[in-house]
Amino acid sequence: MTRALERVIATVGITALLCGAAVSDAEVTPRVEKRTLQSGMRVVLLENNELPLLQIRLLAEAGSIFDPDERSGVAAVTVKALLAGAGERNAVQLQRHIDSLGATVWTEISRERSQINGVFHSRDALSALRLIYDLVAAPQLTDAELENYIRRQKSAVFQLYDLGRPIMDDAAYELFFPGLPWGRLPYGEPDELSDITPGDVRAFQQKYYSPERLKLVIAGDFDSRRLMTDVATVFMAQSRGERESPPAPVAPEPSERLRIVLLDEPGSPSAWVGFYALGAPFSSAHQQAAQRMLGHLLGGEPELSYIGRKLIEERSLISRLESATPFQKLWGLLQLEMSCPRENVVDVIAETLDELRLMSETRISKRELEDGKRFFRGYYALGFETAGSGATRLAEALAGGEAHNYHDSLLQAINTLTPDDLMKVAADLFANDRLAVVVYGDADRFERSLNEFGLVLRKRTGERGE
Amino acid sequence: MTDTHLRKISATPCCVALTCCLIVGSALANEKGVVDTTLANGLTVLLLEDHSDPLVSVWLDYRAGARQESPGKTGLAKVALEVMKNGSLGYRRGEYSRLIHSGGGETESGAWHDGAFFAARLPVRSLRDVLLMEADRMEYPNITPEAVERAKTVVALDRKARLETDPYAPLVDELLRQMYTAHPYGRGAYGSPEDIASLRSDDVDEWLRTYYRPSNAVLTLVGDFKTKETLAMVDEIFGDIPDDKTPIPPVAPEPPQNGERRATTPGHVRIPVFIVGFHTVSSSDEDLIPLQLLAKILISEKSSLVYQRLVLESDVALSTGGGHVDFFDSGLIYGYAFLNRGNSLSDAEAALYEEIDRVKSGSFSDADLMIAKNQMQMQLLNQAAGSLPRAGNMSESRRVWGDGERWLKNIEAVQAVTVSQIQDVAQRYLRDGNRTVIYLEPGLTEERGQ
Repeated sequence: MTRALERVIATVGITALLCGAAVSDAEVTPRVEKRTLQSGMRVVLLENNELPLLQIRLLAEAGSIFDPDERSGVAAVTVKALLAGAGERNAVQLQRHIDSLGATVWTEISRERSQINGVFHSRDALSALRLIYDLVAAPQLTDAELENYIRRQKSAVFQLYDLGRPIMDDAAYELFFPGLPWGRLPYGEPDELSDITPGDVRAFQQKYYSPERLKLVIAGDFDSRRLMTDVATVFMAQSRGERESPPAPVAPEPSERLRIVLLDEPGSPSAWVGFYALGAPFSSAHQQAAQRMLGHLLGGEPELSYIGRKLIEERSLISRLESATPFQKLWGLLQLEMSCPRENVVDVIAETLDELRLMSETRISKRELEDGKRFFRGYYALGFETAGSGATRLAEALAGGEAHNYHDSLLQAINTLTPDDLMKVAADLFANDRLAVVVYGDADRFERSLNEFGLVLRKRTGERGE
Repeated sequence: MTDTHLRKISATPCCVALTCCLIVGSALANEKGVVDTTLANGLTVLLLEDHSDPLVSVWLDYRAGARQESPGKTGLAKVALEVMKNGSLGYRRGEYSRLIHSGGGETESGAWHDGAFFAARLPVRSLRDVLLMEADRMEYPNITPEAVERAKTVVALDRKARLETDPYAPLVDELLRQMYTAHPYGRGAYGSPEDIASLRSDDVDEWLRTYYRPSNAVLTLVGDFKTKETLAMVDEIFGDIPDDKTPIPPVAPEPPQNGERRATTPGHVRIPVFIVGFHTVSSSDEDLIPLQLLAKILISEKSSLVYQRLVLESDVALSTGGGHVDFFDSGLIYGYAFLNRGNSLSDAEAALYEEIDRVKSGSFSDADLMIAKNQMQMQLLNQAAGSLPRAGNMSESRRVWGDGERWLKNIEAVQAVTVSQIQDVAQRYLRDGNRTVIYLEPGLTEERGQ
């Protein structure tokens, strides 16, 4: 058969393949070893012997929603300062120890949790466990180091203001939950950072890094039973603390009009535009499934998604488009973020709102939905190919307060979705009190034109460096 | 902690690392190892079986990057890459993405300084379809005036977005512009707006005919397949694509730099930052590994001399970083520091040079070198995680060293580097006259990205 002929046949074949194949319900999560230690810390181990590496994710229920009142940023400073010396090692010695293992250790902060991540050589498993233990159970947190970290956090916040995009979803949360823990900036307000004391950080660490608030995920090249014994031995000394539940979810205030937040960055020739839709708590698998499918259909692959096809392929209005549905426990969020020249901001908002409206008014075709289901089936299965991606998947599930195999339930829920389900969830998600539009850019250039879409709220993005 | 102490704790992992990594190297290469063959039309094919998952990764490299662009035609590498996404004789635009994404696979593509690539990770059942599409667009790309105009718009928007939404991006562009006065690396990978606007279908057509052909490409497959059958399939699908094997046009060399170059670029930022670069060598040069280790000892890692001095000990900087850029023709070693507000760029720069002098005079320990070696070995291991990055590394390795497995063998070469070699490369490359410095300072009111 010639290649030219096969091309034609292949085209037909691909179409048949895409339209005909049934979506399997098989599980995607590999077998894991799991245990809750006497101290209350949950441990999940996933063997992946591809390479001699260990991927560690330690989740602590110690996010910014637990910041003391008028001290936003304490959680952020605390998780970073865990690396400022631990056990017998001061900051410099600790860093040299990490580097001498060839390891990488980094931290993250979000509203609900803080996270310590590490990549180690599998021969160093015991050293890695001891190191992680020292970070959470025996950090030094000296006055001198903490004062440095508090000062440095202020610079870090200004760097985020320079970049723009990292602060956009925060503006949406601030709008939905004014004055509430969920509305706080996870990295801290510059004014409030100045008021943080080393004592605040030490108290936070004591209270929120106790073992029953910790979940440890390790994926990589090891023998699970042996490693579980080592984990139990190393973390045995950690004593239980007091349990404090996160603040209860509070429904956002109803709003008659769509709200648009302008993060004013004078002189910026380009803009970021974000659409944030507040979903149901994470435990609603059906709602989560619908939110993820909507995110995929609206803002997944640029050539295939509704917004990508319209705003990139047809009208060349935006240069980047990303959708995300973060894993968090109390609130689901569907976010669509895009960058564009500032002269396109008004068109971008109009076109995107139009697409969101269509989602809640028009049934998508069964074929499109089946394509989407197939995408997720492959996406979650491929997500366990490496130890690093496997560890991240497991950590996501645990971060949402779910079982390690949450992705299997999620896939089942995705497989049962109908076009009507999507319409209904879209109508809820994209209602005015659930949707926020955030624009980062030179507000003077487009503020007036945005009034036609809804209520415009303008904010400065923090002092400049003069 | 003393140096002696560090030497003790570092020595053991390093020795073990060597053994482990050699095992890893052979495990990744499988019992059969990388199969490297060249079809009659000149297409290089690398195959590596890996049956751990029912997946395959496909990586198709073309030596068609910004380094081949002529003055006045900058941005052509990216525009041509976009046009290649417009489908081909047998496939409509978007069909490639649809095939891969509806199977849950992922795609990547890009054109950078030294080349362009299309990559995909997909269920193994779709391999034949993907190869058919790649072959079809290699031979029959759908170059229409509309496709070229759309590609120009996409590239221009992307360029604008990068420069305007990342306020620190101009720093790197300015560094390359100052460092490379003759070589195309100085013109950047994104092109100028004027050049992009003036590109025509003929330019794209000529570019694709010159560079997107079998003898200028490397096709790498890693995954769950049988080598013999897959090689036969590749030959069946790609083997009859014609190639006249005309030589690829040469690239203007960069003359040696004689004297420091400095510039301050407009900043729409709150945090001051500077970057320093020094010319080094081609990515195939034997000095490459000592230079990569030098960058780690000096500035890349958190235990590096500069990070310790400016972040951990003095709190002058919010963060520092750097590394070696392995360009095909002539690379660079660079370092940067984002300063905490209220600190002086010139003081921080002076502190960086004092640390460079320490390296040149050998005032760093064996322990520092051990740490850098361990870091580099782990970096190489991490690059091997997953079939798609592995395919990309094999392809690059084949292009640079003519050996698809050499990147893993570098783990052994890292072990052989001595303190005196680090000192030697520091003295030869980190010279004042070979230095370029760029400042980005807050408070300048010019609009960014212009």
